[in-house]
This record gives sequence, structure tokens and C-alpha cells, in this order.
Amino acid sequence: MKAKSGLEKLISLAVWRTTGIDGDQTLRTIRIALGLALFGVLSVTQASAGASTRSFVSGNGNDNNPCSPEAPCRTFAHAITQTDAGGEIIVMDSAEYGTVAIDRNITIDAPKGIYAAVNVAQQGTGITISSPNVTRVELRGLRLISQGADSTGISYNGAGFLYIDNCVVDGFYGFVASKGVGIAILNAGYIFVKDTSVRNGSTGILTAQGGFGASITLDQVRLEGNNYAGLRLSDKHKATIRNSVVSGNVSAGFVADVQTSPSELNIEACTISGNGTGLKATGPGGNAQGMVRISNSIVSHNDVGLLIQGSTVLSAGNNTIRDNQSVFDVTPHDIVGVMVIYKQR
Amino acid sequence: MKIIRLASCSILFAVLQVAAQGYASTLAATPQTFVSGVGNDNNACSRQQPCRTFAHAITQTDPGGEIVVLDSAEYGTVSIDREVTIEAPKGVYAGVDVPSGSAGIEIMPKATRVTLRGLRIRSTGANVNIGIAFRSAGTLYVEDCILDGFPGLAFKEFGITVSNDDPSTSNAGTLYVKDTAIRNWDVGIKAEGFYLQNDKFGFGAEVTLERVQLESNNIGLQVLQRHKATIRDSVISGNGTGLSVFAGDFHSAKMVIERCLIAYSGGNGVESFGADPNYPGIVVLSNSVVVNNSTGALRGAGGLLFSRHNNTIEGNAVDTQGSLQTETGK
Repeated sequence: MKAKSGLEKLISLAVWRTTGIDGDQTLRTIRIALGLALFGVLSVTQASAGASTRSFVSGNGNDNNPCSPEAPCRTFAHAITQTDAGGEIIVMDSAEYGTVAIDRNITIDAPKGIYAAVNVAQQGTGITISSPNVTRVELRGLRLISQGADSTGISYNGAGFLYIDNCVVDGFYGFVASKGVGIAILNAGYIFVKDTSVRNGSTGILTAQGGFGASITLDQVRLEGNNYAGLRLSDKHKATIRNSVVSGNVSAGFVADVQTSPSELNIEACTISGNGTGLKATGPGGNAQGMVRISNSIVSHNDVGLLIQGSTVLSAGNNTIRDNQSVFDVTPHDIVGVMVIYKQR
Repeated sequence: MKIIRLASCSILFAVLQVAAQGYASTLAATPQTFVSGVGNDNNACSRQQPCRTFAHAITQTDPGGEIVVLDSAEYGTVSIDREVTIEAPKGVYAGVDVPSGSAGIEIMPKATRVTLRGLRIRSTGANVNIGIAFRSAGTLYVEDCILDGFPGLAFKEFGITVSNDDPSTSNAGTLYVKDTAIRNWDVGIKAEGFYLQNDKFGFGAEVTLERVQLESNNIGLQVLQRHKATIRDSVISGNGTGLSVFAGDFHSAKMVIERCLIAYSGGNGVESFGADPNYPGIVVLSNSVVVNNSTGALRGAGGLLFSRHNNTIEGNAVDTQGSLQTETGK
């Protein structure tokens, strides 16, 4: 087997983490499959140029149409059946487009200036990514709106890369923390979220307990007004969040609650304010400690700033952590537990 | 008096007429051309009669003019041979599919000043593909674009290449990239040289990146000999190698990194190499977070890696390799 490139190593690792299958073996299979797929793609392209690498949907569309710009379809669920793996669904104008289960690599793109909503019924899921064939999904410019309790906005159970840009995920409430979730990350993979708000749910972003951890990158994200947590990080997951606002979450902004295996959370240049607790970092201690690093951030006006129990919280010593105090408190509770300063380099 | 009035009136009339004709002829000269998904390349590329492809619209556009996208569609590859702006305003999807073995948008030597705004450029094949090939010694602005490589493993694919192919000058161009995501390429942005390689005296490219996402590429940003890059406020995540500097035999290569996140690289988060100790690769790292990479910051052979010591370099399998040097804030 020839030497693996960095990205191949990454994919190999992702496959292994996701499925437990030997990554190298899979990589070899992927290489062969890709070769075949490529051959297939080339033949298909020649046979029917541009048949459906790109589908279009419109509020005036019809699912009996071929999903072309001239004759767009009406729903995401139908458009995806008319789109090649690796293709794109383009939203042409403002409307609601229905829920969709994603079974192939796809981009759904609502350009700025267009409102593209997905209404989600009680106990339903807006966008489901569950097939192991799905290794790359991009969602741009969508509004996921809950219409009833215990629903989920985006549920990721694929294998590979998920990009979420410019979305609003609103109101996915429930009566326990695990029901009513904005974005549920149920499997390993690389998740990138940018310029996205996750609001008014039970849990804004939830990672599954058990299995292999995901690698999550959050940039310019707003986690606001969620009942249990803005972001809840479970065992083995790694998340890095920067330039983001985590505010008004009733119970806690961040929850990193380790059960048996360490998780990791890096917080840079965030505002964490107005939550019940800014950050809850809890665990059994010992070798299973979670790890949280925080730098250049504001932790203020929460009832409790940082709550650290059986977990490690490291600070670069350049955060503003003050005035965390509930109306019932006589003194602030900025840092409950022990926070350790690390040296920047 | 009456005669004078009459005369001045007719002069005024004549002036207005000339002005109107002038305006009309300016319109016909097409400083702005328009393209639409329902356009036709036999049209005049006017607002009322738009064209269908970028490749045709540019032939109808004055140097220094603009091609404006009216509605959402795919507009084909284009070779840019003059100063031009291609603009897809927000709310409009303007795709460019890059067939196998070609470039999506080529900036040719005569195009000294080009702006690309709001485009979605995606590779559809798996040969040597380039999203944007910047071959002139001029200035290129890339804003609000998304460049998607071929889904799958790393092929010889490049999101943006800076490689002056103009034999009349040994200087390279100036590239600005802002608010742009570059994903799934072999190299996201590559600053290399063609005529430059054989010339000892030309200037390298100056690459300025702001709020850029370099995600799941084999290498995010690669700066080779003679070129310089600055990158700020950007996310470099899930790549094989994040940011790479590799200097050559006669020339250094330089990169300044400010307020970036470099995470989840399968290999090195940021690396600095050089072939000749006299012309080292130079990286300056400041106010950045380098976490969860295989190796966070690598100062390799022939490379220098300066830190302002205000970076979080933690949680990598190896945080730093080769000693970091100190860059003092001034």
C-alpha cells in the first residue's frame, strides 16, 4: 500500500472511529471504489451531461418537475432523489421546503437573501444524515423551525464531514435534556459549524454518549436561550469554539460531563454570559477527567461562572471572569472548584 | 433677445441630444454585462437580454467592466483576459463546475485587476483541477466564494494557485481572499512560481487572507519559495497539514498568522521548512489556537518558527517540535 497522505490518514481514522473497521483496509476499498466510481461518474457525465449534479427548488415548484432552473421542484425530499451523489440542491426563492433524509453526499444551498425553512413536527427530525454512505454534507442558509416538542433540527449519524453555514436552528424544545435538540451529533466525524444560531431548545448542540467521538469546530456561532445546555459534550468528543456567544441558556452554557472517557473542549474568544452556569465541567476524576481550555473569553453575569468537579479546566490567564452572581447570592461564584493556569507559547 | 433665447434653446437641445447619444453608446459599449440562467449567448448581455455563460459575457465586457449575475444557475468556466469583476450579489447562487483536467476561473497575464465575488466553484472530476488559477502578475480579489474540491481522497487538485505564467515579468501577483471557504482540495491555496522559479530577482506573490475557512484539504495553505502570506481571523481545521511554508534554494518564504484556529490536522498544524539555511522558511504565529493536531507547530529543517508567546498550543499529540523562537511584541 502506498504511503497515505495526511487527509487519507484523517479519513482512515474517521472510518475507524466511526465503524471500528480497520481504516487502512477501508482506505484501500475506498481507493478502488473511487476508481470505479470515477469511471462511473465519467460515463454517466458523458451519457447525460449535467442531468442532475444540480437540482433547483422553488416555492412555486412542483415535485413532478425535473428540478431544473426552468422547472424547479417543490421539496428537498424530492429534489435529493433527483440529484447525483456529490451534487447540489439550490433554493431559488423564499419558502418552506420540508424535512429531508440525506442518503448521499450533497450540498443544500439557500443563498443569502432567500429564506429557506424546514418545519419540523413534534418528535420529528428536520434534516437526518444517517446513511454510512454519506461522507460529505454541506447545509447553507437554512432555517430549521420546531413545530412541537421533542423534535430535532439536524441529526448527524453519518461518517465523514458535515459543514453547517449560516443556519438558524430555533425552538427545538422538549421536557428532558436529550429530547428537543438543535443539532444532534450521534457519530464520529468532522463537524464544522459557522455563522449559525442554535436557540430556544432543550439542548442546542448535543453529542451522543458512547461510541466514538467527533471532532467539532464552531466559529461565530450563537448558542442562546436553550434550557439545559448550549453545548453538551459527552465522552470522547472534541470541540473547539471561537468567536462565539453562549448566552441566556437556563441551566448552563457549556456542559462537559464526562462519564468514563475524557472529552475535550477548547474555548477561545467567546462571550459566556447570562447562563445559569457558564461552564459545567464535571467528571469522575482520575484518568477519565474531561479537559477544558479557555482563553481570551468573557465569563460574566452568569449565576455561576465556572463549575469544576472531577474535571480539568485550564485557563490561559487572559479571560475576564467576574460578576457571576445570582440574585440570591451575597457573593459572586466566579470559579467554583480549581482552575489551573497554563502558559501560552 | 428672443433670437438669443431661441438660439440658446437649440444649443441646449443639441447638447442634450449629444449627451443622450453618448449615454446610449456607453450602454452599448457594455461596462456592465449580465448573465442569467435563462439567458442566451446570442444575446447582447444587457439587463433585458442577458447572456448564459461567463465565457461569452467576458467577450462583451469592457476592460474594467463587470459581469453581473442576475439569478441562480451554473455559468461555466471562464478564462479572464482583461480587468473585470464577476459579481454574484448575495441572494444569487452562481456556480462554476470545473471539469476534469481544467481550471474553473483562469486569470491570464493581461488581467491585471480582477474581482470575483459570491461564486461557488466546485470540481467535478478527479484529474489535475484548479478552482481559481491566478496566472497574472496583477491583483486578484476573491470575496464571499466557496471552493469545493472533488469529494473523496486527495488528488492533484488545487483551490487557488498563485503562479505567474507571464514570461514578460518575473514578479508574481497580489492575492486577497476574504470570507471564503476552501474545502476538500489537495492544496487549498498554493503560492508557487513558474517563471519565477528560474529567476533570481523577481518579487514573490503577496497573499492576504482574512476570515477564510480552510477545511478538510490535504494541505490548507502552502507557501513556497519567494512568496509571502498573511492570514488572520481564519479557521484551518480538519486538514492533513494546516499551514505550510517551504522555502527554496535562493529564496525565503514567509507566513504571518494572527488570531487563527488551527485544529484537527492529521499531520502538522503549522510547519516551516527550507532547503537552504541562508533562505529559511519563516512562520510568525500570534494570538492563535493550535489544538488537537497530530503535531501542533513544527519547526522543520531549514525553517524558522517565531511565536509571540500568546498562543494556545495544547492538546496536540506533539505540541511543538523543533524549538520555537521568540518574536517580541513591539
